[in-house]
Amino acid sequence: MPKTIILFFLILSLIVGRELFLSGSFATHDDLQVMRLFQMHKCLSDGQIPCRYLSEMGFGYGQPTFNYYSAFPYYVGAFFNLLNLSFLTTVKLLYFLNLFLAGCFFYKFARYHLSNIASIVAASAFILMPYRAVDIFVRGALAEITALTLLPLLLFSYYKLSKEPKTSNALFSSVILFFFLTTHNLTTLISLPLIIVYLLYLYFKNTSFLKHLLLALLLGTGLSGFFIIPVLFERNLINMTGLTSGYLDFRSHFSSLSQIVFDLSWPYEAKPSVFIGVIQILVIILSPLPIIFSKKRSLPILFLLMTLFFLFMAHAKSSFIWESLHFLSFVQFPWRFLGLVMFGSAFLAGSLLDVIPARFAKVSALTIFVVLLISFLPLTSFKSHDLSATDSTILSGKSLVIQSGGGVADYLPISSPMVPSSPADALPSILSGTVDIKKFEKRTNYYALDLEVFSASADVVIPLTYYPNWRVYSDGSFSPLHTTYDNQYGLITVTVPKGKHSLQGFFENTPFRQVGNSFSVISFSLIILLYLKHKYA
Amino acid sequence: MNFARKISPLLFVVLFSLPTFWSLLRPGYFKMHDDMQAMRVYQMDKCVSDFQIPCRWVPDMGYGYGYPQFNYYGPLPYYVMEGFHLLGLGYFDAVKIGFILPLVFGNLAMYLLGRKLFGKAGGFLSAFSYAYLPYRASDLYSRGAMGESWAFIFLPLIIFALLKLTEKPNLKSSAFLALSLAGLFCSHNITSLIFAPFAAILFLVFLSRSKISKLQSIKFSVIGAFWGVAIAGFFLFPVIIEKPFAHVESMLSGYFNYLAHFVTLKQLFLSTFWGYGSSELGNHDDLSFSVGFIQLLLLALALSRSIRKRSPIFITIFALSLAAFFMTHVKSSFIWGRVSLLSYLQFPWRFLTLAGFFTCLGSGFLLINQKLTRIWPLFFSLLVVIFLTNASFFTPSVWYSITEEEKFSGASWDKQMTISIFDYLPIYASHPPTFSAPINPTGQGLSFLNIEAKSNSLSFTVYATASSSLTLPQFDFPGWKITLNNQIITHNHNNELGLINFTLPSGTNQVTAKLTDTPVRVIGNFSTLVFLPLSIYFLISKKYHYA
Repeated sequence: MPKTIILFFLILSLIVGRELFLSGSFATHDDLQVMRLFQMHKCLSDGQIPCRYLSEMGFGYGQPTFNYYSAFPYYVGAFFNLLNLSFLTTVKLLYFLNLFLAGCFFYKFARYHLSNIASIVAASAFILMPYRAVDIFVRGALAEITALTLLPLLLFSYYKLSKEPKTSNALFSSVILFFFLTTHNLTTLISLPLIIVYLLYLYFKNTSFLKHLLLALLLGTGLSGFFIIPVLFERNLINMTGLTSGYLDFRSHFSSLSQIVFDLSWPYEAKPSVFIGVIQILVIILSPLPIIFSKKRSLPILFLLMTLFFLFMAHAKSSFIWESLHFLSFVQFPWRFLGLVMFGSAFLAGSLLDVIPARFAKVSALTIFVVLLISFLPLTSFKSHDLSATDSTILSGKSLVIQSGGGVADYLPISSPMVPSSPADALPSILSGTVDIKKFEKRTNYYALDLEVFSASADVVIPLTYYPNWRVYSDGSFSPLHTTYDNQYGLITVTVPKGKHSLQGFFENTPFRQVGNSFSVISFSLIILLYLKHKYA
Repeated sequence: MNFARKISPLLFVVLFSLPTFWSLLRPGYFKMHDDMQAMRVYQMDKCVSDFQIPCRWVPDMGYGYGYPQFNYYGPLPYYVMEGFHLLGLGYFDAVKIGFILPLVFGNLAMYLLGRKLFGKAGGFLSAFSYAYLPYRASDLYSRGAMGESWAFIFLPLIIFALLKLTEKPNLKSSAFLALSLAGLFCSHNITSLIFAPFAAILFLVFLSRSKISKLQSIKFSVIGAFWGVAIAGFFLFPVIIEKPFAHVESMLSGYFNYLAHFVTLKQLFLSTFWGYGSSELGNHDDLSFSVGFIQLLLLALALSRSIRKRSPIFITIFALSLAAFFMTHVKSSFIWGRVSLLSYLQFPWRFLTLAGFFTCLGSGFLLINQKLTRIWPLFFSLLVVIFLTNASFFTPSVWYSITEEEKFSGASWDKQMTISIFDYLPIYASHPPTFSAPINPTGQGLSFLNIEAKSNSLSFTVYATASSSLTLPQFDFPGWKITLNNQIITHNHNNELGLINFTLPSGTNQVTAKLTDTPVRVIGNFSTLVFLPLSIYFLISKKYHYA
């Protein structure tokens, strides 16, 4: 990739993301990024690798957040933290990368199909679509925007593989697939049609890369095993109704055509703008041109069809699909499909430019770019800033309590019939018996309780919601104690006999997680060995 | 340009070592199990200011009754830290430097060894695995084990020297081995004890692969080994000979009995659990005994690579790491039961020093003879994965914003004078003191004048109304000499605490008590004085250049 192009996207991202360089924090719908990074950091510090359970979330009753939710961006964040960046700076850096790298990745992808200038315009259109501003500046949807940033890189890796079917390209592709699969389940789900169509397109162009493609898909999926196996098979361990009902019911989030095409309002509250952008609309309208005039017309046709399909999915008319495909309800907001419209329309913008006669190409490119930028710039502001905020103001006192209760209902273990609404007790409570608690310490994957029971026995309630497999061991024994969790928040309850005891609770793996972890380790090993074998040959 | 090419890999190693210690680069101090590091440097400083060199007897430990700390305890790190203190650093900062040095120089040494065995890429991988070895984080940030941390510098150096000896058997190589060995002896002597058989086996494999005269290699290696012992003489000879004069038996019983500290297979190979707690009986220690899941995986992958490219050296390294792991497991207790010397190791998991060393060294084999420019995507991915899964352990659990004055005063000072007091309590004391030592000697009807106390001596003028018994606030220990009016007299230690006691005639007496060197200390000091400069001479001498 030419250095000037990198510089171009860097400068563009700096302009668009200028508010990310202000001090302090900013308001978005999802304001848990700092907290999640903090928890991820704690996970790593406690040696909970991979990170699944966060005992400080769910108002301190614990939540298995990363067993289900977006792991990859937070591992990237953890990497920056370990390089001594604050959580707040890391969040901003991650958002910034989702501007800068989005451009670079899309350019690399588009460059295989389009001319240089068209690729630049396409990548710019990919950065400068209103929905990106919605994700970053309004919703704070780090996971979703990261997945969308990775999507062109994923397709790029497949193209590269089809062009040069060799092991190193397959391994590269598998790693990108791993990034993608562990980033945002919903985006993975809705972008499957796009990925499959693109792969079919590549397959018909060059059938000989199938073997390498299968290797890439297999290793990429295997590498993601630690994350996707529990996502697929442990959904029954959490209360899912909260994720698809009430406000999150997809039925209340369809968009009308006029909202998509004309509505220029920019609400920060509730339903965000679904306007897809002036250029994008124009490009879709004019897309028959590249289809007619271009020699390489199959891709423009595919991308146009896909774009129209994604737009349709955001519209209420598609509700019959939504109603019949039950799993779509987890997408929650039909307008999430706009992320894919962003992808498709950006490519169409590039292919349109490629059919414009050469002498007008530069002028048209510049015009398109300027219109894109001018119409995008007003959207690149956060609703508000708290310039004095730091990690310690966010992660202490009242703010920490609010943060710990953020998204409390999202991944609520089924053991908890009620949704906690106030912070958990700092110490275990005594259900029966007389007990002196000498020490209680809680980590993301561990708790230690030193106590002395004066009565014949005592029932002690640990302020932690049971989630498989929390196990408690008494005085270093090898077999765990029997626990119950028959109370409103499903708190771990254990009967302790008379005397001094030291209890240790460990968050242990379920068979599914073990299998998932093993898949990841095996795939990781295979990738290393195949790579070395390939390089050695 | 040539210099830059030589130095840049080393700079790279230092750069990637940086995150393992940057949490220490701030004022204050941190929590660790062995909370005597600053105190030891402080005591070393008192020795040095009194010109008690080498330092053996420290004044404030043993509750102020004096203590043969550095007669038994690996002094090298403390001399170096004292050096930094003399350059103007505070005690806390000197301790932090003491912990940082092995994190830098250990990794550099590992890089040099790894590069020699597996090439540049392999060397980097070995060094990086080593830099982020969780057990080293346990050693430093949980346990505060200074000596063991320093061992990580000398293990690769010793192997490197042995390798050199099978290539260029000459006095220069011998000197290199001698200095590395002496470094290990004087940092953590028990590690050198358990490392010796491992190093010997690896040496034999090097030897079998060597194309030059094997006899020469053996000859110069033996010279090097004895030379190393001779260099470490000032410390090593007294440790061996004077062991009966301290209560070391307490280091072998109760909590410190090795039987309570075996590690389970899960803790060794599967667990990534991290805690800052202590080692307990059973399999639920709140402390990590891992040499790193990724490091182990890399070793296993290296093994699978070795099937095609047979490498006796790698297979040996792999086998040695397995052997070291085995020694941490309860199944090895039959060996522990037979080799009584091992019980001084206290914790079988101390073999993890060796297991970790060999695991990390072996992991470099994965990238043997690979060019970094060819495999950089894999190389950097491995660095990221190792970093992400281990770097978070390299930070203290609790940071204290305290000053040295606070540490060395009040209740904290009392604690500093008495922690681990049983470790090297002079044998004549039947039990540790319960109150701090008085400043003055004690006796009936005595008045003291001009008391002058130094780290290893005490002199005063005393007026006795009648002949009476005098007890000094010092434990008796071989080498204490009492001079009464310019005449050496005999003394006894017939009291509960085993303090120096003698009879004083009536009248004004000039008394000087001084810890002198016993013959074995004299020989040891002399041995070091001769052989240390000699080894340095051979190491830098152009005449013996490796070419």
